[in-house]
Amino acid sequence: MTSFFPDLNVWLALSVAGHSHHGEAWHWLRLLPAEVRLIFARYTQVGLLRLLTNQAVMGEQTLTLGRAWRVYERWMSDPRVDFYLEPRGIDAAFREATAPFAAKRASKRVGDCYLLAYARESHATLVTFDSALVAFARRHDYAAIVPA
Amino acid sequence: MAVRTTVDIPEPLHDRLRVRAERSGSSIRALIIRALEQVYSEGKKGDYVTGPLVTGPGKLGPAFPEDENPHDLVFS
Repeated sequence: MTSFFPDLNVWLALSVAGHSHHGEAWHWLRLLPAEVRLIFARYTQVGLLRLLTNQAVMGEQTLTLGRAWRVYERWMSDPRVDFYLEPRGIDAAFREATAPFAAKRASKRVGDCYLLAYARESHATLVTFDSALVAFARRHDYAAIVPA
Repeated sequence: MAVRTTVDIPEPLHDRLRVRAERSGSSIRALIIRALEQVYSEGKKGDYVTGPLVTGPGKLGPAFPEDENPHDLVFS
């Protein structure tokens, strides 16, 4: 079974109609075959809840935490969507993913590298709108795509 | 009905299970079953999500992310 690991910006684009990539995200999702698996990790679960309830992010559409949970639970009720705990090899894979930045001040990349490591150890393809992350992933042999 | 199975468990993990079972007055078997149920429980599945779930008319906020993952907002 093919597994995809949508990152936070993809879940946000799928969830919020006002997202600029909303159309691409849904176009991608609608073209997927029925037997694919979409993975939520703890990171993307927490991230989606935090963003949906953050007024600086959601403005006039800010959700209560209860409503944000219902958005998450609706995704989880979709037969294609599953929550996976951290895979066993995540620690070493995370460390390896950050190695190219060892000599740099690259705090933003810490989160991105975790997502790449999680995707690889879960045998999934990372799905992201971050084209720089996709370019980095491909240079370092991670499976990553931009929804289109 | 229960199914008997045999699984090799790393010794340190088995030691931790044994200690946890002793402390909690439970059994290793019960702890393993509980852990498996928690991790692999089948949540109730329904229909496909077919459209956005947040469709309000209001303006989104100034920090609404577009391309990059807003890691700083997640961990702030």
